Amino acid sequence: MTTPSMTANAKQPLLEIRGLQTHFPTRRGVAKVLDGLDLTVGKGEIVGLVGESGSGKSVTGYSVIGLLKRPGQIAGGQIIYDGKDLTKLKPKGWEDLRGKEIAMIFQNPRSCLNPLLPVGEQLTQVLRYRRGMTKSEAKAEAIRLLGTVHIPEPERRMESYPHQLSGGMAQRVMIAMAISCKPRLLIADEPTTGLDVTTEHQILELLREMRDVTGAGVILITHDLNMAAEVCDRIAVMYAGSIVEEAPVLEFFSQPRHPYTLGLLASRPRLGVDEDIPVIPGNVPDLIDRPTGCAFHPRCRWATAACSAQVPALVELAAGHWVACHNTEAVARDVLAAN
Amino acid sequence: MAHAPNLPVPATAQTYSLRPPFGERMRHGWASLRSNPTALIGAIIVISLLLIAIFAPLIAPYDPYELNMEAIAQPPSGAHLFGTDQFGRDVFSLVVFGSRLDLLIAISAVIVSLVIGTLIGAIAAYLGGWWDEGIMRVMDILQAFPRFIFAMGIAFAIGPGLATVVIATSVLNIPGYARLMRSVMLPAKKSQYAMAAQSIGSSHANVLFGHLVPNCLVPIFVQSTLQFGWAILEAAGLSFIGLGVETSAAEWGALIQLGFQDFNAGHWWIYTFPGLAIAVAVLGFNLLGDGLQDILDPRRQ
Amino acid sequence: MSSLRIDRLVKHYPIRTGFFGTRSLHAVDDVSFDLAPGETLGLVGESGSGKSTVGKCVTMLEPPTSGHVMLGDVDLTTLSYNQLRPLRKKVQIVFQDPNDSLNPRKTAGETVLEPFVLNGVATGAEAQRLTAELFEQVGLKPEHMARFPHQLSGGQQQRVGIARALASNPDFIVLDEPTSALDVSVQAKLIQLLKRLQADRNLGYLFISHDLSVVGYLSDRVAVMYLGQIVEIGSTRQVFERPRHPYTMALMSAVPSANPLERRERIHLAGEIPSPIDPPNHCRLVSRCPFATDECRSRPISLDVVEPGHRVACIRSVRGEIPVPEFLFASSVVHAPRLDAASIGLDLE
Repeated sequence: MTTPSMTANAKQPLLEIRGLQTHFPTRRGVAKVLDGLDLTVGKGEIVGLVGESGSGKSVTGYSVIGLLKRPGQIAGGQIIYDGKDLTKLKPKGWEDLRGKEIAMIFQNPRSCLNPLLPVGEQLTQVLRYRRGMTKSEAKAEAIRLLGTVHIPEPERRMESYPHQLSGGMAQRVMIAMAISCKPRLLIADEPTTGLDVTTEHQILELLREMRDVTGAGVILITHDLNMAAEVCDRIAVMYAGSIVEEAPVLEFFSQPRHPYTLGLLASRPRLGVDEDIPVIPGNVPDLIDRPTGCAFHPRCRWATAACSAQVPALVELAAGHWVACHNTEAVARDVLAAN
Repeated sequence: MAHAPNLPVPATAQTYSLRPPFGERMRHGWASLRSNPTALIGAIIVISLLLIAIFAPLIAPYDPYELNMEAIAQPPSGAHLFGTDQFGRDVFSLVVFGSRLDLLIAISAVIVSLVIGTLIGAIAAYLGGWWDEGIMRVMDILQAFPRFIFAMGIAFAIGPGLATVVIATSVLNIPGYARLMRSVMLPAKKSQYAMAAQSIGSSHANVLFGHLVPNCLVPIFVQSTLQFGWAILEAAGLSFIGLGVETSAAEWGALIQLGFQDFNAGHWWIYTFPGLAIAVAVLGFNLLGDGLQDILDPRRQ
Repeated sequence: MSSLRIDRLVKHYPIRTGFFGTRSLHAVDDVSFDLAPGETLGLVGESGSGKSTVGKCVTMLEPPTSGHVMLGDVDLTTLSYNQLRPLRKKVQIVFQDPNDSLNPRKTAGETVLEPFVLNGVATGAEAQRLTAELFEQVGLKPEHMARFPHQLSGGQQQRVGIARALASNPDFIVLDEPTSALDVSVQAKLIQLLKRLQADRNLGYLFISHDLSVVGYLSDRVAVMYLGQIVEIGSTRQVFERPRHPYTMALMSAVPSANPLERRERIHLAGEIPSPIDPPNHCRLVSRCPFATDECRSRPISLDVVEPGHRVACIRSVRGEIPVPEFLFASSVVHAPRLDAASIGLDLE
């Protein structure tokens, strides 16, 4: 299986996922939530992992940080982080890695914080436990971190309980906590869902700023293409558990090539355009009873006999632009003709 | 309607079904029961009890009220499986017939408290404000009553007997149902489907009884199966202290009381077997209740 | 068909503080607008702006504290619950959470059929036939009628919600964030459906959403709410391209631009939205507004006309003291190749 290789990114890969299979056994059969996922993240790079619900984008995040919920299990493939295969890691190994090297922030930040402790206390505990600081060192560092994520009056905010924070503030605290141990990989799972437009924008800015400061690689998991366009260096689109297209952000929006990407881009409502929105026919596939060949073929206009017979591999069309489709040429021709 | 029916309707499509076919729902129900051993064992016990009560005359080898002076207080034997009491009545037959009276008491007590309690709870939650406050404080007072003192009061007013047992066990359970109903109704009342029901122009009664109450009944039913067990225990207890049915009646609690009078004579079988019957019945209803809780919980679906 | 007019709508919720004290939460403060048949008014604002409360007051699901909801000549706020019942069918509502808005114990068919019976339109087999017809119109199949909500997908559930609203044959529908719980591709289908239904039935929509691109796409006019008040109202083009209120400017500048080459000039507001408990009488943005002066802190504000159809609640903007940014509608348009639906083979429902 070809993977977007090191040559694809000028930067050295920090994380390389190869042919990842994450399966959830159910009463009805095995749901292959991730089915041959390939993804690389370079140092200091923000990769947008975009997909609709059920595409497996969150499960990818949980697989990488070793927090898969039962009955999910990794059934194949490799997750290479810093030369180590994380799928072979023992629980003890995870303890050294998780939170220190790889950190994750979630949607609903308030539910991730202990409601009974002031946020400063929670942050201080992390610093004392993880970085072995003394109480006063940890407190000073916590205040500095809250300042870093642009929380006004950080000394006063140390005393606040989670319920006294707005959603945006709570997410800032979560980000402060995530970067407190200087992780090299940060996974942000829909970090702005439920936040307002203006706050959303500030959190995205903050993510980019944190990347610049820490040099960490970031995986931004989102369903919102517009949001990914804002901050990401590269965008990878997921469909039914694998990447169907991956490209540097500018190329992604100017030269999309996978039929599913085309559909996603077209189905966004556009301001001031009084045209009907084209929609993708059909629905997402059943992950237990998957279509043969390309998972998207039942909904695809370009589908040929090959599409139902064989899973298309990711092929590099241009530098760093990977597409998993049997009919890239036909698609490109038709898109060109339409313009 | 703005839209004329322009679609040609085939003759066969004239009838539309608004409900999934009955067979499918039964199959679904059976499948979830089968996958839940707790509920299944509970259901088997409860159904067996009902069958025993219904076919008591066919099962019991003797007439439970027939005195036999030839066989007084005999230990269990081939002729008398559970032995006989001090009047020579067959204990096995008494226990079998006792299921009739005990189930009758339990069912009527549960129905009375369930219907009144859920109504009160539903109305209190729906009206809210001072109505809610007032009604629930009355419930508090009712719940604070010592059970047996209350039963003694009823017995004093109308005399011991079946009605006393039913009233005593049901009235004091009303607050439990009311409180439970109110707690499920409060969030349901704020749900969007409740607002939707109002927005299409439903009357208060329709919103409350057509939409809200049916969605709040699952915990009530679970609670009621658990209460069946308690009601049997309580009825037996009241009979034991002499506030329930007469000691001569074929009722488990009364029979235990009878056996207890002969405790010193060592006639253990007279109180042991009805005691076991109570234990099995309570266990059956509790298992069924616990199992149903798992099956009917919508989060599991 | 008569129009819908909201006049000086106020909704306060009492909050108990301490043992005896009560304060009030000003969810909606003095909101007025009107809605004509066949028109879409977008109501945007962030959480806590009171936009959903406006929707519930318009449908009389929450009785307003004061103000009027005029349906033609009838003031709905003066009617009792039972007087209101026959009039409710004129103004229907579709809720945000498709899962919570359908009765879990009723099948989709039963839910949609109920209004026919309630309004005395039809009963029995005739009502079932009308229900099946509505199912077809919203893109569902008759066999979905026997399904329970949990057996339907989010998009299908929302279609049932729309069918229920249509069953009353309304003149107006309040759409309270109807697509925000759905995926992009599902959302697109639903938006198409809403547009088609509006054209077929001349429906007036009050479209409540925080998603500016959806609002911009669907609305003829847009009203922007902040902390319980409308701060700006005008045609979609006026509000989106030349916003005059500092809050609208910040909002519009935060719209994620789909084109990574063209990042918008951001207009930042300081701090966070203040508490809606006992807010001040004057402009509610002062604490965050980069243009605020002492005058803003002392003078009461009103919605004043800046150009035909465009009104703004900002004393400085009305006098032309605030530079007006220009956002191009086109800048939010995807810079991907123009995707002609037919050429790339996507369904137009």
